[in-house]
Amino acid sequence: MEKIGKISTGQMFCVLFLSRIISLFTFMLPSASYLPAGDRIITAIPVMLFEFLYAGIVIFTLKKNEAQSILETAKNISPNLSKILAVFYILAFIWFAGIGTARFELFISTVMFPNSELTLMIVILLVAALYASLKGIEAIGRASVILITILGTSVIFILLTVTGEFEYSNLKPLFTEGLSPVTGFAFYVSVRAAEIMTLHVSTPVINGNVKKMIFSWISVFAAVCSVILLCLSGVTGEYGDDQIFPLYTLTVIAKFGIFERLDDILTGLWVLCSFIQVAFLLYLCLLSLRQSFGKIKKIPSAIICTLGVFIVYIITSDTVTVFSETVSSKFVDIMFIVLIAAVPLSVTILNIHKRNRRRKT
Amino acid sequence: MKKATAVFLIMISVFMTSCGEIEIIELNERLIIEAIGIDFEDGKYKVTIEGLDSFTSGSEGNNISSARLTKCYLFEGETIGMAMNSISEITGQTPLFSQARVLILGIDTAREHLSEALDFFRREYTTRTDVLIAVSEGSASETVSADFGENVSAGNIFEASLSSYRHTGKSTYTPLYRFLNSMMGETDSAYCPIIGIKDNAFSDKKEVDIKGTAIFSKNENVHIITKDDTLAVMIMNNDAENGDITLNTAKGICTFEIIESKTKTGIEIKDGKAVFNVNISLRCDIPEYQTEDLSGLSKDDTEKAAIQAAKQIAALITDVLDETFYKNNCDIFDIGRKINLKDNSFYKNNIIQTETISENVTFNIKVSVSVRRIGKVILEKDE
Repeated sequence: MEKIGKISTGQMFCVLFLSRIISLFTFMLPSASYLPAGDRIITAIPVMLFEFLYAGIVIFTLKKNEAQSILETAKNISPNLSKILAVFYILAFIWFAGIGTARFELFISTVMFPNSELTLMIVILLVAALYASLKGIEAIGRASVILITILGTSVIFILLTVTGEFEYSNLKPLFTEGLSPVTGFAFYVSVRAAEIMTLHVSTPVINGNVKKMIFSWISVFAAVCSVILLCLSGVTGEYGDDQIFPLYTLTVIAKFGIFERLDDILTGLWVLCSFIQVAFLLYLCLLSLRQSFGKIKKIPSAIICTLGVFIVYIITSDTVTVFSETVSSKFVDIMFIVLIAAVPLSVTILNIHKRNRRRKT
Repeated sequence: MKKATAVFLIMISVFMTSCGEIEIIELNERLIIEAIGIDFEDGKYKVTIEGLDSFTSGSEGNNISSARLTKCYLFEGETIGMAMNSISEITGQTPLFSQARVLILGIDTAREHLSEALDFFRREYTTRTDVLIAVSEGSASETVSADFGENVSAGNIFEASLSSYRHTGKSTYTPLYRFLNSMMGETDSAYCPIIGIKDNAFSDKKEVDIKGTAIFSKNENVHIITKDDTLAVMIMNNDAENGDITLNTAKGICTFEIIESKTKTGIEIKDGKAVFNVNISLRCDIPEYQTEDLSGLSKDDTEKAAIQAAKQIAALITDVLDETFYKNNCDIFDIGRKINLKDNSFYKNNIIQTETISENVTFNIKVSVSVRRIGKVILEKDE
């Protein structure tokens, strides 16, 4: 049997963190979901609570399935079921990678190269991600550790430089319209983050205490988000709400003595975050195939998945309106809930039932 | 395999840079913009651009020596975007707005077309969001194209003058994002420096003359306050880093140089009104105290001068509040925002619904001045 590489929980923490934070950096306020300005700074907390709920499901299924992934568990029930589920998970990973790429392209084409055709640049990004995915999770994990160190330092530096511009009066009172908008928005955000869903497939390649890693990743990410969003609100106020990429606006404002144009440093790093995100999701497509179909032809499979990502990117990145409408679609909510909760819980229950029946016989 | 991959990736990179997909522009093909001036006349926007003259001075093997560092251009269009689009047509260069240091609006344009004129800069990422904004006393075109001397960038000079708030406290620091944030606020009035140009005393060149601060009320009126009033605004908003005031005391004329200014504002809702308790503490030096006999200052003199300075600053702030907030309903002190944070229901019912913020707010202003250094102090008690 082909040897599967493994990474430590620390490395997986870095991969998940980077993959998730690029969505925050290039986040665009959705047209379909309303959030009062004051509630923005605390959004990360209810998102964290939703993610704890999803994490609970992941940990429950892992425990009940003896640390096997959902696809491996499904294989115990029926190999065909596992193959069908693998197709769905792969399609979801391709979807999220395509959306991530499209969001990134919209960001680049808006703020960096507004007059350029960037398809070729995206092709190169995807080719690089394809190559990284073929090198395995260890390569992605090692790259993430290096990148998170650089990114963390630059984010801290930028946040420190904008604290002088922080105006307390730019903040707004919380919950002016009750809890419902913030809860709705938090749900909206939480179901559009693929990373937690990836844990249903990726746990067999993690060495160490997965439970601790998941909870620390969610908590640390929520804390980092809260600090960034607080700075964003305090510095830019209503102007930040008006911007298509509010966090980029914050980096434009950052300057320290002779150090100006810090946004260029960060956007360079964001390219690498996007690369990690796509590479990780492509790797998971290969992993899903291997878990369900056994030995596969890696290179053709990876190329097909990359083409899938490219197609999603082409369809969704045409205009900002098309992108917003696609991302805001209810279909995404349903797909996420099915793949994070309904499928894993059903598979786990069936597996327990089958195991119990076997024991009896 | 690794070598082959590396060669493949390098070839792709080379292909990418040569195929023209990503716009590659040489430096001398760029019009690096230093200052932008916007006027609205005869139904058209007139955009004046000061750009670095890199086309003539930057070309290799070119014998043309540029007489000036920068060059000004005037573009017209029904919208600012249309005017901007004709830049390449006229200059033969691609504009680089992100280097712009200042954005200047003519006072008449700012009075009548402020929102329209700023929409382009709000929506586009071509201009950096931290570009400094000001209005000009006359037309923006005249101001941006003023002759400050050869090899001098007007944008650079304007930027330096507008940043002088750090030393004088008599000019406000207004990057575009702050200005737009105030415009978008429900109760705020946006404000920015108003600048003019005047003749240099020793040459035929011009120099910048900061006139005060222009305040834009929600009903599209523009109120102008003086430089001294601007210092009061800066102190009240806790933005003052430096500044000075002059006192006429019984002993002589005295200058107080502000070294440190701290303003703390407490709000309470009392008898249906928002009461702002403003505590201002200033640390000052006295670099000059003109007396007839060059005598030193006694401790008593210093204390009396400090009390007088505190009263003068309190009076200055009260006057500015009367002029801006009470008479013209201009909120340049984030009063509405602070009330909103303190009591959202009071804000909604008394400020937003009535649309008159000033009727619902009173101020208690306390100023304390401590003197740090006076040169020579005579500690003996006065006779």
